[in-house]
Amino acid sequence: MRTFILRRLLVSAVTLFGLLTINFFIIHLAPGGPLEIFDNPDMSAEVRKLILKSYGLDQPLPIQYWSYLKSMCRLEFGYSIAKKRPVADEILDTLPNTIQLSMLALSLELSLGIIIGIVAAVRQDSHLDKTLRLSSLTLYSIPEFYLGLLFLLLFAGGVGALAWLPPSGMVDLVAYDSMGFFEKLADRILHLILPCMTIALGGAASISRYMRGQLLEVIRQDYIRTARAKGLSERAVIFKHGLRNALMPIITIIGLSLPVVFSGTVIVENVFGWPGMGRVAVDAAFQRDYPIFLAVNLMFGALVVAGNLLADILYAVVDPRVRLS
Amino acid sequence: MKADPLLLEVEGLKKHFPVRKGVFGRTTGWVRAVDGVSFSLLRGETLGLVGESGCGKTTVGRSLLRLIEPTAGRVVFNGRELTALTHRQLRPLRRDLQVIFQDPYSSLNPRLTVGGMVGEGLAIHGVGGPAERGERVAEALVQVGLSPDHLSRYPHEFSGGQRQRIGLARALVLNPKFIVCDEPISALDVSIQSQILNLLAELKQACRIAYLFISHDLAAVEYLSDRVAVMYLGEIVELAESDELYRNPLHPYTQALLAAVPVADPAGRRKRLILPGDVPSPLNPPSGCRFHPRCPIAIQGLCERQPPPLVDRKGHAVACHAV
Amino acid sequence: MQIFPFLPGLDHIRLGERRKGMILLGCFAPLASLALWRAGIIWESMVHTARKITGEKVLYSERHLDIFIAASALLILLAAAIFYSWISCRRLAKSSGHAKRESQGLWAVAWRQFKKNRLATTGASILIALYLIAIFCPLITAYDPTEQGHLVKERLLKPSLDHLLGTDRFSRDVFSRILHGSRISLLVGFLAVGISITIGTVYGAVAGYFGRWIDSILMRFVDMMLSFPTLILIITIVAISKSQSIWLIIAVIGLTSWMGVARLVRGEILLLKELDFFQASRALGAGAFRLIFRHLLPNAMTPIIVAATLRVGSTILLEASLSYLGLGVQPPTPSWGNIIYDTKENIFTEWWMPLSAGLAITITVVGYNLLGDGLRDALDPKMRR
Repeated sequence: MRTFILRRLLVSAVTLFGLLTINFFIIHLAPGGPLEIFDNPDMSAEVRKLILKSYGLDQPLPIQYWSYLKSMCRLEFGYSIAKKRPVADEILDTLPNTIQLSMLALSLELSLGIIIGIVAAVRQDSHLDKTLRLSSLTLYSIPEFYLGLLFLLLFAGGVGALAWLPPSGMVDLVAYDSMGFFEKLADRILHLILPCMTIALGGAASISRYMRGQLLEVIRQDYIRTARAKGLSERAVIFKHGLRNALMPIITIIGLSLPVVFSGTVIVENVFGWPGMGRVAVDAAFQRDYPIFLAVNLMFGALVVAGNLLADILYAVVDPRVRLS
Repeated sequence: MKADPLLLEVEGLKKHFPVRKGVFGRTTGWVRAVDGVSFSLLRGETLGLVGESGCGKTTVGRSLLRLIEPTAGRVVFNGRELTALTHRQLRPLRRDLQVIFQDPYSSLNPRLTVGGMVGEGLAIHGVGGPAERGERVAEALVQVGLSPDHLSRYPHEFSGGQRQRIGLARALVLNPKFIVCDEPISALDVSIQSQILNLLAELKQACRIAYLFISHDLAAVEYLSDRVAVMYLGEIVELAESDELYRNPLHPYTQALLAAVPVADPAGRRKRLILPGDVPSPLNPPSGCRFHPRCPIAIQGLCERQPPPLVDRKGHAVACHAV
Repeated sequence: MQIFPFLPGLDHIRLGERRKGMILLGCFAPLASLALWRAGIIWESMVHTARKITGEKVLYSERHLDIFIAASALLILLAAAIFYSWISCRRLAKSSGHAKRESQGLWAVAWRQFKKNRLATTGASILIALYLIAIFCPLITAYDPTEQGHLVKERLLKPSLDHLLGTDRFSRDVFSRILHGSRISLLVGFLAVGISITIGTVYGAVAGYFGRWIDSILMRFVDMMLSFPTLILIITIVAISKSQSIWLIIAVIGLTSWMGVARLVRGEILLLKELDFFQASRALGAGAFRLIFRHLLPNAMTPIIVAATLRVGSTILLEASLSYLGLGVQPPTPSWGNIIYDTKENIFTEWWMPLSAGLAITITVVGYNLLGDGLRDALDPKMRR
C-alpha cells in the first residue's frame, strides 16, 4: 500500500510538472508572446526593451523557464493589470467559492446518478427504466448554460409566478449582513440550489447510465446467481452482493468526471453570477488579462491532479486488487 | 530414407519475462518461461513437443520464430542464425518459417476475406502478379480441402475446423520448409481433430514440411511425430524417437504423463502413477533438478543440489540423475 | 412500366418494397414541395447567376451566391432521387423473385443490424433532417441572418407569420439566424471531431503498437493534457490568440480533445496485438505499416466510429458553451451559442429567442447521442451496456 501511494504521488508530481510546462508553452507560443498585452504601436523600441527587461523576457528561453518554475513554486502568479492586484490574491478570494460549488455539485451528481442507476437496473426494461434512460440521454445532451437559463426562467422570475429562488450571486447582496446565523445559512443554501442542480444534472445522467450498466453486469455474475439460489431476498442480493461490487468502478468515474464538473462550474458561474475562478477567468479573457486566466488554468489542472490522486488512493483502499497491479 | 540435411538448430534458448515491482518499477524477479532449450530438426521431420500447460511449450515456438524476443540462445535455420538478424533482415526468411495457432477464432482477421488473408504472404513477399497470386491462393485452399469459391467469404461464415484449414492455407501458400504448429487441434471438436491431424500428415508427406508440433495431447503427438521432446518447467527433460519414447519412457515425469493417458483396456489393471503436488511457479523454480519435489525416485542430497544434464544415450536423451 | 416516374418511392411501393418506398417518398416529398414553394427565388437566382457569369453588370452579394448554391444542391438532389428510384425499380422489376445470397462482410452485417435498431434510425433521421436544413436554409427563410432591419420599427418584434420567432435587439430575424446557425454547429462538430479523431487514432495506434517506453511517454502526456478541464484550456488558448475566427475555434477544439480517442485506440490496439491473427501476420513478415493499417486499425474501427459520433455531440456542446461565453464564434455570424449570448438579456421578456436556439442545440446533440448509442448496439453487441 505504501509503495502504491508513493508511486501515485510520484506520477502526480510528474503530471503537475507537465502542466506547468504546457502552460509555459501556451504563453510563449501565443502570437505576440506574453508581451502582447502591452503591444502598442506607439511604443518606442526603447520602452519596449525596458518592459521586456523588467519582466525578464530578454533572457533566453531556458532561463525564463527556470525562473517561471521558481515563481510558480512560490505561488507567485504575477500581477493582474486589469484588477490592479496580485493574481494570487484574486485566486485566493475566488478559489473557495469555486470549490464549494463544484464539490457540492459533484456529490449531488454522484448520489443522484447512483440512485437513478440502481432504480433503472433493478427495474430493467420496465417503462420506468426506459423513461429514465431517455430522459438521461436528453439531460446530458442539454448544454449547461441552457439548462441554467431554463432554471432561471422557471424558478427565478420570468414566466409564471415561481420566482422563489434567487437568480444570481452567492448571498443576498442587500440583506445578508443584517441576517442571523440560520437566516444566513438558509440564504446561502437557496443561492446554491440552482447552480448546483445545473452542474449536477448532466453529470448525474451519465453516471446513472454507467451505474445501471455496472449493476446489470454484476448481477449477471455467478456469485449473484449463487446468492439467489441460496434463498436470499432480492433486496439483500442487490444491496449486499451486487451494489458493493458495482460501486467500486464508480470511484474511477469520480476522477474522470472532475474536469467535466469544473468545465460546468465555469459556465454556471457565468450564468448565475457566482463569484468563482471561472467567472474571473472569463472576465480576464475578455480583457486579455493573461496572468489571471493562466493561473486559473493551472489551478484547475492542479485540482484535477489532486482529485485523481485522491480517487486512486480511495480505490486502492476499497479494492485491494488495485494495489498489487 | 536418405540422411536428411539439418534444417533447424536451437541451442540454449531462453526466455525470461521480467517481474516489476516498487515505486520505480524495478525488476525484482524473472519468470523463467523457457530456460535453456536445445534441439534440432531435420528437413521434413516432425518434432513433437509435449508438456503440461504453462511449461513453456508455446513460448519456445514463438521465440524461435522471434514473435517474442528470446532472452538468450541461438536459433540457426538453414545455415542462417535467426537470432543474430534484425527484424528487417529476418523478413525475407519468414516465407520459409510459418506458424498455425490454437484458437481458430482469434487467428483469422475478421475484417479480411479468405482470399485476402491467404494471399497476404504472397503480397508481402511480392510473389508473382495478381493473376498468379490468385491461382496460388486457390491452389492452397484446395490443398487444405476447401473450395476456391470460398475466396471472397469472411471468416465468420466458417466453422472452427474450416477456420483452422484457412489458417493452414495461409501458412502453406508460401511453400514453407518449417511450420510451428502451436496446439493446432486442442480447441477443436474431437471429430474435427482427426481430420486436421490427417491433413497435417498428408501435407507432411506431399510437401516435405518440417513441423514443430506443440501439444499436450500425447496420442496426437505420437501419431504425427518422428521424435518427441518432453518439457517440464521450461526445460526439456527427455527427447527420443517417437516409438522409443512411448515404449520405453525413462524420465519419471514422462512415465507419469504416459500413465495418465486413458487407455481402453477394461481387463488389464494399469499401474497408475500419480505425482504429488502442483507444478511449481516458474518465477521461483526448485533448485537442482526442477522435478525433484514431485519425483518418486529422487536421490536425496543430489537431485536438489545439482541440475541433471540432458545426456544422450544412443539417440534417447534424458535429464535425470536416477536413470 | 413506370406509373409515376417523377415521384420516387411510389413504384417501390407498387413492387412490394413498401418500407424503402415510404422512406424515399418521405424524403422526396418535402424537398419537392420546398422547390415548388420557392420556385420563384430559385429561378431568379439561376437567372441572376447566369447573368453574372456572362459578365453582365448585376448586383451580386454573398446572399445571392448562398441562394444559388442551395438551389443548385436542391435541384441536383431531386434529380438524383428520381434517377436512383428509376434505376432501382428497373432492377427490382427484372430480378423480382431472385433473392441473391451474397457473401456478407462485417460491414454488411452491421448495416443490417443498424437498420433494425430504432434508436439509431431515429438519430440518423434527426441528423439527416438537420443537414438538409443546414444546406437549404437560404431557401427556407427569406431573411438574411445578418441583415439588420429598421432599428426602431423592427426591433424586438413578437413572433408572427413574417418573423416566426420575432426579431432580436439588432432587428435581425431570429428564425433565420437559428436556421443558419445550424451550419456553424454542424461544421464545427464535424471538422473538430475529424481533427481530434485523426490525431487520437494515429497517436493511440503508435503508442499501442510500439509499446514500451514510447507508450509510457506518450500516455503520460495524454494524462497531463487530460488534467486541464477542456473548456478552461480552450478559453485560455482562445483568449491568448488574437483572432477568434471560426477556423481557430475548430482547430483549438480539435487539438484539445483528441486524448480520449488516443486512450481508446491504444487500449484496443493492445488487445488486438494479443490476438493470433496479428502474430500470424508478423510471422508472414508483414511490416509495421501493414500491421497497423490492415490488421489493427480496421478491427479497432467500431469503437472509433461510436466514439466519433458521440464526440460530435459533445463538441457541438463545447462550441455552444464557448460562444455563449462570448469567446467562440463572433457575431454577426450566427451560431446557436452566440444567439443565446445575444439574447440572454431578453430572457425574461423575449424568452422564445434563447429558448428555441437552445432547443436546436439539444435536438442536434440528442440526435448524435441516439445515433452513437444505436451504432454501439448495432456494431458491437459486446459493448452494449
